[in-house]
Amino acid sequence: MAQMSTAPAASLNGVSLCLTSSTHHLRHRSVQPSAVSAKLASSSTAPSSPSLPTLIRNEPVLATPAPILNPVNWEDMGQDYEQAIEALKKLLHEKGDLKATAAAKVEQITAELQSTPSNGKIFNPVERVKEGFIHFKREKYDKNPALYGELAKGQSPKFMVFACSDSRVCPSHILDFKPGEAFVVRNVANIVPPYDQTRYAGVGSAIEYAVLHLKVEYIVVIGHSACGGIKGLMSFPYDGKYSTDFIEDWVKIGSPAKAKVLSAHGGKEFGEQCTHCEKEAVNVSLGNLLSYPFVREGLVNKTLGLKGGYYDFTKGSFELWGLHFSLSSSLSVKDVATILHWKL
Amino acid sequence: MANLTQPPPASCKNVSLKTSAIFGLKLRLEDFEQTRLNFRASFRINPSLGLKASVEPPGLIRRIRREKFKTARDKQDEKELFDELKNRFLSFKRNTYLENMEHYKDLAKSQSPKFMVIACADSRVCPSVILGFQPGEAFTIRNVANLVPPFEHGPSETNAALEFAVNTLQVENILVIGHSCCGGIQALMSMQDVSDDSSSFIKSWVRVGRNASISTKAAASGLGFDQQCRHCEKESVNRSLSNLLTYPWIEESVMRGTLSLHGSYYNFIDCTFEKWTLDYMARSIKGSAAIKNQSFWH
Repeated sequence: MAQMSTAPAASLNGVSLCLTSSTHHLRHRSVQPSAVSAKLASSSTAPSSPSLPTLIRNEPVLATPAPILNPVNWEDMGQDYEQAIEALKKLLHEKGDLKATAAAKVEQITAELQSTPSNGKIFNPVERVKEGFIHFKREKYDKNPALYGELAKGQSPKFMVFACSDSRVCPSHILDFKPGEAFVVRNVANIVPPYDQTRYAGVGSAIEYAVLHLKVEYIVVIGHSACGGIKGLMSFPYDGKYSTDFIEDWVKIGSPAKAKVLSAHGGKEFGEQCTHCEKEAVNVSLGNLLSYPFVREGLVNKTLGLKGGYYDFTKGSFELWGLHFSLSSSLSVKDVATILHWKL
Repeated sequence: MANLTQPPPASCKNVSLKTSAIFGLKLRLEDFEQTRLNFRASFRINPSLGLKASVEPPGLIRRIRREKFKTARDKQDEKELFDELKNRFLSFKRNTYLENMEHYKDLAKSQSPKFMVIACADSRVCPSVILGFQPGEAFTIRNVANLVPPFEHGPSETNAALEFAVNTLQVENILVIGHSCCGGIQALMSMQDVSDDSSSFIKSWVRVGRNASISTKAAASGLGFDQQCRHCEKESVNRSLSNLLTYPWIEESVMRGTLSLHGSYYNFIDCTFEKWTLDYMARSIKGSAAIKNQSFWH
């Protein structure tokens, strides 16, 4: 009984939108029942300085001495350095009298490296891109002909991801999406605008393509820490005159988040307000997704799920939550009257 | 609870069915039983309801069965799927983030990418994967068919990102990456009348590239549809580069030499990458798009 009388939106004609958990929770902090925050349990802070690895060995090492330093290419730099240092330590453990020579050589190399200008060679964008592509082709494409052969014919990603254009939050890195897994849209502040075929055809076409043609199973909107777009949203005064051509116009889509943060956390310092806004803006985007009829339909038919995420790169954490959405079938006038104890 | 003469309509029970789904099947089965009992009770009291209700069940049962089946299986799949993502994030954190803590700390304070990349949202062409961009290197926009609308098009998410990248982050290079088998370009080429077909979002958006499709159809009319699409994919990259120059602050930076515009094309059928740079100086002399430094990697 109590359940029914508080059930929101029992409409008299047709379908009633019953955003039970979502509307209820949108008024409070997070959208959903089961928030999964994934943190590394044993995440001790990393070694404060990347010092030389210490060799913990007591038994005699019988290996033949390895060459002291290998010429490295940028991809394997990390591993070869460690290996080289290990080898050097092994050698010196065996032959202590070589220490002086080794010290001299290491000093020489250190000096050389210090004197190289910090950008090494002048940054050449074309070379950078070319190296990247050749590496991809050799290490990934050529080694997985089956996968890439299939992908060349078509794609069927399970996910559609909205992520910020920020260079630090590519979903392929943080969630390790392989080619073919996620249809990714990236824009400033990972905002999803509401349905508008004239103004927001760009995002609308991506959602339409993903939901209706690719038939993705989940749409995930991922916000992140230190977002410039959200910071702009919180800083721009919006008092009539815009100082930018397009940015203010775009980020103002997230204004409901700003309003909520200012009312709930008005006294806190700016950085904290921005963090709250980054998460709230994800919820605003999830809500805006509901304004697309094909998204609603997918949710009702349970062919589609919506998730919100937040990647905090200052702490190295990732939060994930979901949006529950349901429709109850239509009630007749008599039924509603019964629920509300009216006399017809 | 309910007034027993008028039991809660089945639809309301549906509401609780869905909202308590997260607590597992058990609770739902109990609700189901309760509903059934309530149904029976109401038939005894008010026989006419029995007739009405007899119409409902088949559809209802089918739907509930389907939903039950789907939900149980889907919940399992969903859990596995997102557990997988969680594991991936944790390995990223372990193997990359913590290993390069200093670098990530610096990045957390600010980013200064040298590239701005405009790529398609297609799952097969993530620029971080195919070109190996690491965190901090490339400010990336991804939209359908990697299109850049001209300045006159008005506000959109693409130009907000352009403004941020060029004016605030001050990137040095803009790279537009087109690719083979692009669904958006295919939609563009299939549009018969490019001027007023706005029945769907996709058509409303890819119209931005209509100049490319017009010139492709003119230049490559003899070729098959697939070949024409290939041609259009590259042509649209060039159009996007020209559209970039309609933004005053971009043109200014290119003129000063602080910004370079590059176009490229990734063909994943045979894994080749073609890249060219817009030659602004030559352009202003000739008056049309001129390119330089064209290279082809395979």
